[in-house]
Amino acid sequence: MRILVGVGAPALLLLTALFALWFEKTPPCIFYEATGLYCVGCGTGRALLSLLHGELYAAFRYQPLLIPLLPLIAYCLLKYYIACVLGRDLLPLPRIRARFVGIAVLVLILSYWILRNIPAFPFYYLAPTEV
Amino acid sequence: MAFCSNCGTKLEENEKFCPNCGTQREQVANAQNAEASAEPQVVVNNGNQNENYNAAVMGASGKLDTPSLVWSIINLIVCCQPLGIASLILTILAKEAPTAADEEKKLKAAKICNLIGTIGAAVIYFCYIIFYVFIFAMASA
Repeated sequence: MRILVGVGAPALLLLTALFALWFEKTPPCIFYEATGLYCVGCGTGRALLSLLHGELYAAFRYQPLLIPLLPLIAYCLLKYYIACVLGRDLLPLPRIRARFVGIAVLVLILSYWILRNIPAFPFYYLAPTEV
Repeated sequence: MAFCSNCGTKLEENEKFCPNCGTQREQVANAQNAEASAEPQVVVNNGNQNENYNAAVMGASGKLDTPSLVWSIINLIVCCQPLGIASLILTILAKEAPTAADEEKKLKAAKICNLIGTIGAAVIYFCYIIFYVFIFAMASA
């Protein structure tokens, strides 16, 4: 199991990156196809693709939320990868004690979802745009 | 319903002493009800006190489970929005849960939502990639 994850996870990551780089294509968003409105994740694929090419600003314009979230998500994935492969929990991730952090995250994500779709200043910076 | 103030075991109505550790039952029932109803309006400088009381009496951590939170956010963004919202709400509810058992239950439900969302999305993305490669291979053959 450890070996499976230890080798499989980076291999999967590499394959996905290679696929994206080769085909320049990212999976479509079901919400967008169905309603025409941007969902929370719209642009994430294109943003990651831009990052692979090294274009930081383009990545930001596709998905601004990625700037704070990508380090956090990468840290968590790394933490669980190390914990699974080495068996020891090396990267700490303490529980949050402060009040209303959970509710703040929920409100933030939902308002981001709604605000992205407003085609007015300054909200069009939140929508995925090509640069 | 009351809980032993020493070990957190649930005490039946007629039990005067805890069946687990033998500590005499205290009148914590009223304090619990006050705690539960006061929770949403707790003043900031009382926050830590109430949390410590919570944790000491009932065994719940009173803290937001960060891994579950991060996984819920991932689900909300790239996997399945409805399940991501469900698991985020469950994680928040788990923080406010009065007992450790209740908290565990909610965290487990959040984990299941996250798991379904992530695995579902992974399967869909994987099928998409296979399909795309297949079409490409067919087209260039």
